[in-house]
Amino acid sequence: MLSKARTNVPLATGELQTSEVDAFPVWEVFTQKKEGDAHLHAGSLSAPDASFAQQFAREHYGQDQECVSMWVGLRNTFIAKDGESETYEVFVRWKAGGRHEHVGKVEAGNGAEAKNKCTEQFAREKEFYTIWTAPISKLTKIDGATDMIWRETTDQGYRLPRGYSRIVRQKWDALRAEQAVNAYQEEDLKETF
Amino acid sequence: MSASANVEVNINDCAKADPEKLAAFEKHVAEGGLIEPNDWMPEAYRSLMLRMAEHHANSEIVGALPEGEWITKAPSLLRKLALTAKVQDEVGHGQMLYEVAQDLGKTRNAMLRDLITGVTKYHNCFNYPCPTWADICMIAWLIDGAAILNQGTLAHGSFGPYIRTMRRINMEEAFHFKHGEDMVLTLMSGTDKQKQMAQEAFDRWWDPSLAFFGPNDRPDERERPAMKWRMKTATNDELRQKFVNRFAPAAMATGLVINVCKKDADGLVVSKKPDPLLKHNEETGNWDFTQPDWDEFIKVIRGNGPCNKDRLALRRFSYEQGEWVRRAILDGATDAPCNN
Amino acid sequence: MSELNKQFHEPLLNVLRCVADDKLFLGHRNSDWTGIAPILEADIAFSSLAQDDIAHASAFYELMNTISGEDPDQIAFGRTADAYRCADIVTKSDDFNWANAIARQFYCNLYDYHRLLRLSNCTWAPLATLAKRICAEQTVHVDHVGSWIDHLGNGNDDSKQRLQTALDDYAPYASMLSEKPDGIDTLFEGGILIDEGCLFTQWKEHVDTVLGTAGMKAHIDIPSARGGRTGNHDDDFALSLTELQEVFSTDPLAAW
Repeated sequence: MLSKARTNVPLATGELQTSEVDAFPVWEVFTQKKEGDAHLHAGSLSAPDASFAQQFAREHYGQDQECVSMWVGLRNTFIAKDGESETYEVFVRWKAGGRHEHVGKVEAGNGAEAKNKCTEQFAREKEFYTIWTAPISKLTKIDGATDMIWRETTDQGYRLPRGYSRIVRQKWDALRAEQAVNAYQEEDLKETF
Repeated sequence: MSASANVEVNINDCAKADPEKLAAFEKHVAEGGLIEPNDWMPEAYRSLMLRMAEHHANSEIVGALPEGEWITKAPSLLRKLALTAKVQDEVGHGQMLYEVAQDLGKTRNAMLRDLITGVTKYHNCFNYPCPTWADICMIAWLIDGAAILNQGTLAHGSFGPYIRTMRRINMEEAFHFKHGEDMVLTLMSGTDKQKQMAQEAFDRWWDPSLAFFGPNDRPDERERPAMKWRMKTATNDELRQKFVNRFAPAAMATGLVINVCKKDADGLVVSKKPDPLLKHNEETGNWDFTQPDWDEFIKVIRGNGPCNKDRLALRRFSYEQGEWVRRAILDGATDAPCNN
Repeated sequence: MSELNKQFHEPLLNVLRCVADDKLFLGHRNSDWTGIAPILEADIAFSSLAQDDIAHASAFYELMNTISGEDPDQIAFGRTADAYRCADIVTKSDDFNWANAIARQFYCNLYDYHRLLRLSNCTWAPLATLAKRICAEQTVHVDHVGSWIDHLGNGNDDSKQRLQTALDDYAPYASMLSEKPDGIDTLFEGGILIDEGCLFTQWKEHVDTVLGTAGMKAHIDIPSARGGRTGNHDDDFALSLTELQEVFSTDPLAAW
């Protein structure tokens, strides 16, 4: 029996009945695995506003793996532009293929200046690929200590490979042992007859 | 469960590109260099990468449908949780891949609309039926196993956003596969009825698993854009052989028999016999096996598989039913930042 | 207190049954949206919350197991319809309408939050500890569903009307959440649970506050009839239960 949602679905073809809704803006999400680690770029998502961006980020990127803190910002925020003097969070992608990693904060008058300061302070000797800067006031920060992100109440093992390692090994052992016994009994019978 | 694209592109498109830039690009990629969205890339690379990510994303969200049907019927608390999480992961993979594709120049709406009106495709293996719980077990073990092998090589590709997504996806596929293995072992250690269910589902899914990797290699496979530009790093036949080498002995160790099956139009098995070619070939070190039924494969790809219409109908229904919600929350959006 | 006097076993099991069955079937219904919700991001989020609910139910069944010794899967899957104690709002069909799903989620999530707060003050330590931990996660649910009420209620004329209709349709079922579980008075009298006044009023106030900011209303009355909490269920529950047990019942004693 299929659930009600999945039964009696009309087999429609041809033109769609609905018109397209404007695309939601794109948000960048950073997660911190444990305290002291840098915030790493986890991925992006589409959401209509900061409140839903935060809700969606928490239930997607916040549940992929353990994480204690999460920052969410409109993609547009990370593009260097003129603005008021303020504190910027800066993120560096050290090489192509890597993820943007939070390296620290700088005080700057605009995004371009923040980028320059970041290059001086954090990447002077090192090669890097790209730098993102974001004014602190434009980032939504979720702290796992006061505002739950990763669920610990119940065992999350069901959604991780390690949740199955032991039981799978035991089942293989039992199955092989059973087959060995069967094979042995067959051999045994052959000899008897 | 996920799948990569076997998407084709016309190599002649490259002719339009600046020859010097193209040469530098190809040298960079050939030496193992990676490409990020803001780097220069030939138009053909951009469009091929877009189509590959789009096809992959389509496959994820259509792939969520056959398994989604069984979430409410999962037979234990653990299975219910795990299956929900697995299907959710697939939606998550689709979401991340649509973001990758979107950054290459096509909006998510356009991609979703093309998918449900049949303009673009998704992976073939989701057009087969899942008549029993054991099918869910086999999909998680075989198809996700195949996906891990495939995506493992895709993670060594040349496009930064795609390979980052592959790495994330593969972490989650590892859980899908382990859970699948656990479910198959549970059935094969269970009652006679459970073993029979498992064998029948295995018969339905072995062929689609082999066909999962796409058609046989052509002689110039490595010269084609997808491999030349390192979007794909292994050929379909290489991956298929790797899959059989790993899964044939494992299946037999659980007590499953590898059959060659004939199926009816509904994708159900009408006759079967043990694969006559199946054996470990001492010379090559590989397992020999019977190729999947490629005629049937082509028929399904053309839209005439057992479940093509149902899958698209549900996706379409979901998209159309959701329109008012998308419109409402955009209209109800606030600019207020959340916490600070 | 970690020892539980035998006379309280059955009353407490019945209260736990109400809590866990609500969670199980709400998660059961919501998990059905996985893969077909209106927006990919919303789909993922709703599925996370459904998993929480099933996991919470599971934790309560495990707690019941420490009292009765019965296997959690057998409790969850192996009963006849009249032995389940959920309020039928959790299985009331949403007819694949997102406004219905959100209305159902809203009433249930807020009710669960207040119920868990009270269970956190239970004098039997194992339940107090578990309820406290789950209540922390429940705040995430309240927060999340609040965003939906806010956005749909403040969305456009279409969404306002759809949400208000759904809230109205579910209101009579919502009130049945606060049907008193059998045996709860014994637990109050025995000092196992603390009677902190009318749960219905507290929940209703919270419901009104959230809906008020979204320009919505709920007409919920104190329940008059006895329904799910005494095992007297409607047709939608029966359908949900059949689905839940479909595979399990082919061989209830087999491992799956």
